[in-house]
Amino acid sequence: MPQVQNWQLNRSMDYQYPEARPTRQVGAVFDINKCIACQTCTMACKTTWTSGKGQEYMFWNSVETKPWGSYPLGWDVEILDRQGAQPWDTSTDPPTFRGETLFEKAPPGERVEGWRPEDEDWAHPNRGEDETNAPIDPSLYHLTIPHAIWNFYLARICMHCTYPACVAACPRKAIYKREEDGIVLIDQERCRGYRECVRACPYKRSMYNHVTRISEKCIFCYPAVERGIMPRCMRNCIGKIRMVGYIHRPSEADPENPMDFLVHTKRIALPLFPQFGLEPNIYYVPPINAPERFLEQMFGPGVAEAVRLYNRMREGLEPELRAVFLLCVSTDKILHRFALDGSEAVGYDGNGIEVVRVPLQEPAVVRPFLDPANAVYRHNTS
Amino acid sequence: MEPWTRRFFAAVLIGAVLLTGMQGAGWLPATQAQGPELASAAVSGALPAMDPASAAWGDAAPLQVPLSAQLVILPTRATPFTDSLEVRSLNNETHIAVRLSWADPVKDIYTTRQGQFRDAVAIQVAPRAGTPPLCMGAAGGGTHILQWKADWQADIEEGFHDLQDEFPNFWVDYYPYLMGQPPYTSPVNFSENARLYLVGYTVGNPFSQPVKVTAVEDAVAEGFSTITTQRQLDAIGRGVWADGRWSVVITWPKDSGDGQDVPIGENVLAFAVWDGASGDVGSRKSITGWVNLQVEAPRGPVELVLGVLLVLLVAVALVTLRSFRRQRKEREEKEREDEVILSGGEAKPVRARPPQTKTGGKLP
Amino acid sequence: MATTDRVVIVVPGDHPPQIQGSAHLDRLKPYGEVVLYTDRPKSLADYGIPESLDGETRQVRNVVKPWTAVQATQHPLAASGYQFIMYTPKYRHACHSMASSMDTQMVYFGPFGDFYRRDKRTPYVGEGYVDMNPDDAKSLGIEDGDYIWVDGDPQDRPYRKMGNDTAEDARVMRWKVRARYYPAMPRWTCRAWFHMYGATHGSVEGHETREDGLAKSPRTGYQAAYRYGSHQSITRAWLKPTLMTDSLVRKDSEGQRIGTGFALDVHGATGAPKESFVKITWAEDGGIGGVRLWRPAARGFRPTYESDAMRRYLDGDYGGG
Repeated sequence: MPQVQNWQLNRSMDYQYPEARPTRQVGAVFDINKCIACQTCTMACKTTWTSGKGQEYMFWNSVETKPWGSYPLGWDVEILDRQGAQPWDTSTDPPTFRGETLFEKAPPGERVEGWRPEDEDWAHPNRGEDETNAPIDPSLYHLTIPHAIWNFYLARICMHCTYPACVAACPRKAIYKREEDGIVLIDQERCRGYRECVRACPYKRSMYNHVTRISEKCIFCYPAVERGIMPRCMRNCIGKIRMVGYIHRPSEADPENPMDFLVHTKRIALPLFPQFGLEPNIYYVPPINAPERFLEQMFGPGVAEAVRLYNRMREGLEPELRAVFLLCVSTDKILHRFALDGSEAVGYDGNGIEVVRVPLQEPAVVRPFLDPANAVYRHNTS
Repeated sequence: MEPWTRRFFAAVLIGAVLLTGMQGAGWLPATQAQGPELASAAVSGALPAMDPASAAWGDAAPLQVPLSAQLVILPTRATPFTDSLEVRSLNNETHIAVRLSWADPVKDIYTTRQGQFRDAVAIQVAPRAGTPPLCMGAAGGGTHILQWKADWQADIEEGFHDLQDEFPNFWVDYYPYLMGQPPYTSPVNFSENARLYLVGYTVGNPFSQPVKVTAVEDAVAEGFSTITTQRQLDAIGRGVWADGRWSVVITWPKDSGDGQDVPIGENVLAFAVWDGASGDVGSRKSITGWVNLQVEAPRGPVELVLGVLLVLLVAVALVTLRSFRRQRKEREEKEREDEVILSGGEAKPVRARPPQTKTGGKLP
Repeated sequence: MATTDRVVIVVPGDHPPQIQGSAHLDRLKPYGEVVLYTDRPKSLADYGIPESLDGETRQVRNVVKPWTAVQATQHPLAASGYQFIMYTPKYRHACHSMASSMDTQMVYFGPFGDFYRRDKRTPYVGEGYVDMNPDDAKSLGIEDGDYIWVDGDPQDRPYRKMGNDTAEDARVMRWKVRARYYPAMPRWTCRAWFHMYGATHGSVEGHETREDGLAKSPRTGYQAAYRYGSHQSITRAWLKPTLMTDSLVRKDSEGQRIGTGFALDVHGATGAPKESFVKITWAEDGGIGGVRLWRPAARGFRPTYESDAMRRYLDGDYGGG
């Protein structure tokens, strides 16, 4: 079994194929603190890609409320329970994963630990919406951070992993990872509908089409990405929670690249369930209102530091971070570089051209109450 | 002719007819088998390609081939689905038909829901000389694979098993570019723009074609992971499930002219079975080893008569020779008797003497 | 301030007790009176209004009572099993003040979306629902995902009884809806979002006669997101308790002038959002075809039904920490 290096685990691990990183790896950062679960991203993707017959249940982008929501039903509980709690060694910096990944824990006869959902598991995609982890307890004070009773929204697309379970699981190599940008695709000519990928993907982003009888998945809107434009789910985000760009390995991180800056330089954006071992490329800024233990289960040992840093930013102590977050969905172009130019955040495209400029502080003008010229008082009601 | 001669001649004649008849009826093997061998009996006329229950299959000698679980490439199944597969074969001038039968308690014929997997059986054909590796061949040494699929057959026999056949109460307000009313028959109701959403269908993936022309996929492979549907589908097939058993016939041309097919001549065959209820698909299957294929040349009435005549000819030749020898012996005895009489009555023991030449020799 | 939805102001000289701790959660006690603060109280008799407790009159009659007397009153429907204050606000899945029921939207609107409609009872690919506190629901024998009846004041909900109404009208308009366990609902309140298309005679006919059970009118194609009735079966426009206060000093609806007399936003009826006092009773099991639990609850992924794995997940036990 080949050994590959997984920087999120700070160690090498088993994988089906030898290490072969793409020339560039596209990825994104989602700031959970800003997501309002408006589902605009979900509907943008749905209307673009999965509105055909056989695709009705598919939502390549989905947003679920944590902790009670899940699409498909219990996708994370099921795989976490199969993998079991796995240990991290926090004595190293970065922490080292000492447990078994899904590849290392593959049962006999299988390439990866996994499970195949029933058809019914894909129903009720927004089950759990807005539900809190527990009933409201009036004896608790609810205006502290973190919240005494909490929930948050987890927006998900395909992770376009560096070590995809779907790629490893397909016995006929009908799934591949693009050399030029690391986007993972199912070859629609080559797939024979075995559904090994549906079983293997722990994030459950590979989906079987009932009519064409082969499987499909998020394509990261690669036709747009090839032209330097962000995917539909990203550029339609109302809350501007998403940053899209190209992520590098830690040793090659460029602090002027917004992705590298958030993930490597500041470590404020963390992978989802890194313990699975797939090196996923969608990163999350953890919600500051949720309990640390639940978040560590989801994002690994870097949660406390990420939350601390986010709170520093809210206090005005991290201008560069603030600049990057303000650049999120400020343009539909993929940003390759950012800069803090005085009191403005600037974004540059792949050709080094400035494509957007955002003030760190939104200009505000306060008019005097009395308008002497007309002898009236200015009110903001009629 | 002497009575004994007649008896001998009759015995030979009857024996010859009996033997020929038994061989023709297939009650005797044409040749002695070495290792598993599938004898494909020759027939004249059409093969029972669509009828696994045809009486004609009684003419084909059955071969029980043991099944084992595919364990070479992950994912695997732990044990074979069933112990063995029964194989028979018939052939005519142009085509060969193979009938496969195995125990399967549950009939699985749809792949519409994501939890549905279908029953299937495949024949892997390779040349006997330079046989490629058993597991679907290898690079440079390909195999010809014919896989019958229960869901392809269901699409043909019942019409395309569509979304609404599994989810009769489904509803959508609108599919882009689609006109008409639910449930929208795939793909007839689908305009070119609407088909953009049926990606597998639009790019020509054979698994995504609602209209199936055959239940058998004609494919090639050069090792694991490489099976690819051929451009030209030459095989047909039909399976019948009854009383916990599948019986499937797959028929294809001996020499299709398709460069991706392996011509039938000196071949080995291997088989694989998939049980949908177990979740079998792809490498999760039960397989056999190679089996020698012995194709009997077809035998018509002309051949039979010629064969019988040949036997008769040999019989007659044998009898004639024997008769000739007898006659000579009698002549010699008579000559000796004459000698005794001529020499004054004392009978001397008759001894075999070397033959006298006409030119030499002397009287005792 | 108390966490009830009613603001109670009393005549000076009488003060309500400060509500301590969580005593107010034991029972939300809707009182029987609406009172206003004033130091020049007039009585009903001064206006010629009878001492009636019917729904119409109670909206506008203003009485003068000490707090101790108010505390002893009870909503006239409480004795008939009416317990819940229900409100019908607006939500993120549809436009601010518009009704809307389309397929991709309804699949994501709440927990009951299913394009394949495996439970044929569902009126559409999603449906309206009532958010209930789990303890409230359990006390009434209602499981997560069950269908329930929700009834408003029978005097005029679901409609005022006219001479030409029929039993069929009542059947179409009585609200049958899914119950959903919502942990954060305060006790004895419940909520139903107001955007879903309501049932009509045509949609009910479709629901009951179509092979697939869609609540779609056979003649017009109108698609309801409820099987029977709607959130409007229990709401109505309300008259304001300020109705009788022509001499009340108030700001104009628009502009800054201060005056007296009728002003629309001070004296006019309140249309939306609406709330109401309702009774809830169990109607059908939530499982497919009306058999036991709906699947996510049966599988242990719903609040109060959590499996061991779900419990460990909630506690973060899989994190290896």
